[in-house]
Amino acid sequence: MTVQAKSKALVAEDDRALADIIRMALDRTGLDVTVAHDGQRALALARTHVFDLIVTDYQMPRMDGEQLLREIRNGTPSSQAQVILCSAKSYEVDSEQLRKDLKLTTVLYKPFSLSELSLFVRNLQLGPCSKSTTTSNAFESPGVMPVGNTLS
Amino acid sequence: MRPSTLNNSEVRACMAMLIVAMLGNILLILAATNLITVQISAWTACGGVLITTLIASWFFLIRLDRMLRWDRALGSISVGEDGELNANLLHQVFGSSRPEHGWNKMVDMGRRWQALKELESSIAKRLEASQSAVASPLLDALSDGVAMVDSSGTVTYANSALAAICGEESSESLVGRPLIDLVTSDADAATLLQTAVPQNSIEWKTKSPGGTRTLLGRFRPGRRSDGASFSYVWTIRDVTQQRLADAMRDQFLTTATHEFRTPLANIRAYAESLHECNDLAPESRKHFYNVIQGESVRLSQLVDDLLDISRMQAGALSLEPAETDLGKLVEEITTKVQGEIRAKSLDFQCELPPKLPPKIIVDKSKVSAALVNLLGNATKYTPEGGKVIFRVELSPNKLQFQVSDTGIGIDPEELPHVFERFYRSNDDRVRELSGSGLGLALTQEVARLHGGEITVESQLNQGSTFCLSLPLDTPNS
Repeated sequence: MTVQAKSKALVAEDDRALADIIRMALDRTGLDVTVAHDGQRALALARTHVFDLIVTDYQMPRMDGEQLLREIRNGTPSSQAQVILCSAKSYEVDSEQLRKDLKLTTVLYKPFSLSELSLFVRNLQLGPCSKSTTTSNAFESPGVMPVGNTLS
Repeated sequence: MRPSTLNNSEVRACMAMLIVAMLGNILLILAATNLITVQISAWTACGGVLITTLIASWFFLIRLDRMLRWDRALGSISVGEDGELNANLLHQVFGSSRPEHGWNKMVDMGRRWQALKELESSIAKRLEASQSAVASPLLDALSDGVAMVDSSGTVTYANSALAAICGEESSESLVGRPLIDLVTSDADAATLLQTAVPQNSIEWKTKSPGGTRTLLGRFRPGRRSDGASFSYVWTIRDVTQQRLADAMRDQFLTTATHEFRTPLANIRAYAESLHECNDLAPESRKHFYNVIQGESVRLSQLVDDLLDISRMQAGALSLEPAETDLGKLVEEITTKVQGEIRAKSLDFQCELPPKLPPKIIVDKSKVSAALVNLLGNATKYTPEGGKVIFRVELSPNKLQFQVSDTGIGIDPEELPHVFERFYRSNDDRVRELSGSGLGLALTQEVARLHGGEITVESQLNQGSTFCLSLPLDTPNS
């Protein structure tokens, strides 16, 4: 895998433990990952940075994922980002409608497979990021997980 | 209108014909036995007289027979006050009918028609009387509203439940008013009701002084008992509480599902990472195992709390009050939280009244769980070096447990919600710590089961005081 320049990813997830492990997985795909623990902070970051990928929880304090994405799509520097919505809700969320309204790349329901998330991200067309496809190990890339090192 | 009778001249003519017939018969018998000699012309005359006599007799007898039958039958067929009609009489009337012509047939038909009208009217009156006597109390006993409306939609009858649904004091006041105006103030709902299909249930909302209510109704067409006018029977049910309960159940299920999925997501993600990432540093692997273990405990606690909540709501979790030593209870509770208090170097004070009652009657395990929960929260949300006070106060009728802390406090906007199931503060300092959002709901349930209450006072960044008040019940009281 050759990385020409790191694409930027924003993870919006209020559960610290889950945010940490998603950050680690995305780090290993070669992305430059920033984490926010509520919708408002994520929006503030999206307004000041250009993110190529946004992985967001649906239910978050202060601003939920749906509202966050509507705001981001509405003229922020990250308005063209690919979006993966992670939700612990299932039946009560009209994912098809959200997919259309918010131009979602995909919706993942918790508990989702982290290796599937990694694989999915690897296969996305993320700007200058390398276009490597399937690998035998979705977590391929050495490193120590940056526990608790989040931007908030 | 009664059948005509034979006048005198008819009777006399008939009698004369009978005498002539008898004389003719005598002459015939004598001629037949050769006692007298007659001419052929005489035979012919006698034969004519005989035939005439027979016809007249037949006519007379039939008239007489029918007059007697009608007088008997119609004289008794008038319907009594009880509205009953003797079947034998009917048989006499209709069974004895034979083809007739002219005046007598008209009389017969008229009498029959009149008798049947009287019978029908009497039965209808009796039916309505019995319906109003029996049906009205029955309909008033129903919890569903029932209304009968005419073809223009105007109420012609309403039961008591419908009056209550419409916010009226008596059902009589609904009569004469359009049903749609009574059951909704919303234009869309009115259109829905106007276009409703018989037998199909429709649900609509209406505003009332007590707030918006949800009504469920259906109707079917029918005829009044007099058979003349068309009507509709509506049944209307107030399902406001039912819909609220449905919404709460759905919300509970949604929240519970969400709460289950979050620790499950962590367990799966960390376990998968441990399996897939062979290059993880030892400290990371240890951290991953700790996360999995912590999330498993969180999941297990969530299951226990949910079971307790559902058992309490179902009424299955009844109290088991027993004589309890208050001093020992306080000691046991403080022992359970001592470890966490020490770990955070908190200043913990336990204040007891100078004289404790030897025994109180409470459900020891539930009160203990409630107070451990309050003290656990105080410890969890108070920064290191802070203060936690556990105070027991007695009054003649009340036992109060106060848990005060100098912790992070609660936002005034969030204060009304802290006892709701699954409610968790949006404060980051709360979010950073695990919790199901069920502890305070359970504590409130314990208070309620004992006939007590729990209150909270709090200031953000200053601290909180939770007060669990229980009725003081001692073996001597």
